[in-house]
Amino acid sequence: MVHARTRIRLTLVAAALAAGGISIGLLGGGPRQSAPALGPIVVFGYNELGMHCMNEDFSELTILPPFNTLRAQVIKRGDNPDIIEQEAVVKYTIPTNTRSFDKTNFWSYADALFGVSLAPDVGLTGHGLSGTMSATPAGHWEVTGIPITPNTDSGHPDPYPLALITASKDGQTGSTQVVVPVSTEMSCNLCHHGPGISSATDILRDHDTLHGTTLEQQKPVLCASCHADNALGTPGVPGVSNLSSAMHGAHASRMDMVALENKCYACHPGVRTQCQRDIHLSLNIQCVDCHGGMEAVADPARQPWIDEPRCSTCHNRPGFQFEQPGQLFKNSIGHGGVHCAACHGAPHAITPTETAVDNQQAIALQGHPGVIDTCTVCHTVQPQQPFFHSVEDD
Amino acid sequence: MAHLQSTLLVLPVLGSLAIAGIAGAADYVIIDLSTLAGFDDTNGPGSQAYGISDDGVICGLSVDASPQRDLHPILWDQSLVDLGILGSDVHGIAFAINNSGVAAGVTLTLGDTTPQAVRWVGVSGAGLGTWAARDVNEPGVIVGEKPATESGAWGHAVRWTAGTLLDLGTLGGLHSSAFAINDAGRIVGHSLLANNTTSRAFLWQGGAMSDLGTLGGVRSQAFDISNSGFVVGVADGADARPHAFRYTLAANGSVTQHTDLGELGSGSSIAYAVNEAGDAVGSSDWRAFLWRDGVMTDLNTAIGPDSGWLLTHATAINESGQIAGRGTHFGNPRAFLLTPRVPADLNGDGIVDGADLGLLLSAWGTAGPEADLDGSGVVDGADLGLVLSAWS
Repeated sequence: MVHARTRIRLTLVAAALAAGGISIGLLGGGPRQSAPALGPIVVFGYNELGMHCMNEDFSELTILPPFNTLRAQVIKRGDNPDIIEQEAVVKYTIPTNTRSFDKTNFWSYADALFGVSLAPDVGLTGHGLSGTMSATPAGHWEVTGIPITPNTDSGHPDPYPLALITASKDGQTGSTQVVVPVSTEMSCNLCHHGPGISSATDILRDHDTLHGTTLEQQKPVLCASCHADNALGTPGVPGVSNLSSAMHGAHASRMDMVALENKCYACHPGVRTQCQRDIHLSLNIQCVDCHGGMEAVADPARQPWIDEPRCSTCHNRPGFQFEQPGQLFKNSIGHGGVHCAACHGAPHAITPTETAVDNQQAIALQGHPGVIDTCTVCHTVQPQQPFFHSVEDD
Repeated sequence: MAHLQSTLLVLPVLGSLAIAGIAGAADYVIIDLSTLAGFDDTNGPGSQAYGISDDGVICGLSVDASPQRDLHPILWDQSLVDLGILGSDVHGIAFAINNSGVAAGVTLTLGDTTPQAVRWVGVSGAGLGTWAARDVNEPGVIVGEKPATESGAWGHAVRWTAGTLLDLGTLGGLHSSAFAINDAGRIVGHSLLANNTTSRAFLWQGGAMSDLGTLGGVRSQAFDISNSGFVVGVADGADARPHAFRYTLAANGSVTQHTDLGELGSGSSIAYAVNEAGDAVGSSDWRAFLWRDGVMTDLNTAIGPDSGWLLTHATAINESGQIAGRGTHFGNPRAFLLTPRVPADLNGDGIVDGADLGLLLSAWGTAGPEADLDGSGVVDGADLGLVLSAWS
């Protein structure tokens, strides 16, 4: 079956090109909607990774817990807009997904795996499925460790639920809707299966056979307890390869048995989720084009989650910066302190995306998907000076 | 519609359940509904059951055999039937089925904002518009929710009646969703309060939505309502832990009894469905439960040992006490059907037939407790009569 997303790809490319001021006559893009009326405060929300993967069943082995992060940047609109960095109240809620405790058995094993006893629906950092975001030194608001799962309260599979972020200060409010991406789709069972046993048991047995461990007898197992993992902040055991290196290195030579067009989706979410959903995919740029192949990712000298692709590897234009020196895209700022992701979207969800929900914020703010390119979203008076795309710009 | 017991013998799955001797103390016969895929889907949903009619037809979803492992709406009536996907959507779920064979559900594309509500009559589906259907009652009225829109509007609970969609509103917040409707048209679900953070179970009756409250905490959600006025769902207690509840409604919609159904030991539970007798099913501590007459029973203790099953969620129960749900079978996610075991079904295969007669005759004249159906202390003609009277 040709997925619906594929069918809308040309439209999204057209929208992207339109957003960049490129003629779309040949691609047949439609006229833009007029920009919506906005209040005194505008809010940009984004997830820092573009996808958070998690196990659903923690009874045997755990790679990642439910742990999502939302960021927001809050701007007081004006002729010269101000970024509100403190003394505001910024709240988040996920209306279609208000409970998790019956959607995963994480809370039954949190103590054994992470050494903490958590109340149902409370994540590892103490945050729940709704609450208050905190100001950060980086000028944005943030909540970490939201224990969201990819199933709505109604029972729909939904790896792209929408959060509502509301900011208020001095009696003025603004809000936005933003995707909180999450998936459990780690398709270990494509290769790891056996009669009468689960994939997890098969994995632990293979590990025991190959490495002389006794993991099957130690369930539940947290992989990062031995393999250092920057995602969880675990130091690992000296002499044991980090988790990313171990996983990619062990499987690099075995991927031929996976009959998938994009073999990354054998482990990363996934054939259903298709977490790489942004404009790069629309332009046929695949995972490995930015991240490299499995052997490269398995390089033990690489720092997982830190040594990541750089936008400026491909993007360069005189007078423009495409991320801050020494910072990843997700943490970079430009244009007077505005975070790159506020206008462009999260990594793997750089707008316009193939998923309609990821385009929703831009449409609500400026009437069309794609990068926030409508100055009057923040500026109440159209600026006359040219737009600069660098950290020094104000 | 063929009754369950009449055709069970043709099910391949029963090969794995063949029992040579008299069954143990299992209270239920379990059937693995399998999947459409023909392969396991350990890190996906495999198959899941959401609804069951009184004659044991189950609806839900299953992973299909495509490389993308799409999720398809299914019916199970002795075997799985793929209800298919409408239009350009990719996935689908059949959430509910009534006793006339009308099912309601949704087809959708992950990350899209335009799910299609679907009404199936038998296996023939028709789209009802851009919303998501969740339940259908015997008169054929369907409830669900409209999705959030690109312009930023959140979804509301809706009721569909013969082509007309009614917005049921909210309890003051931006979002609401209807989960169930009984034959009198009473609707339950959940809605955000005006703070847009707190979710509350609602009853919609007589054109108005009312807050059904909690068990002393902040949040609640209602998932099912019987014609007899029982509502089940989940609500926070004063300790902020979510517990399954059963409320009893008066004719005017007021709650006359709030019952906390307890838990299996984890500190949390949730009830998804209730039948006319007030029997509720749900999940606690990742284990499926039946709550009956004030007692919560772990259904894993009711299917006999060494089955390979972990029943995690009981999601539907019919008037015969059959229970549908989901769990894992040797680690693989699967929908299941539990059918109360008939005492005369001595080998526990779901039917009373010659095999059971043979077991009874082999125990003839002994005290054989399993075959001593009338508890007289000896297996005799009275027990034979009970087997014959229960013959499938």
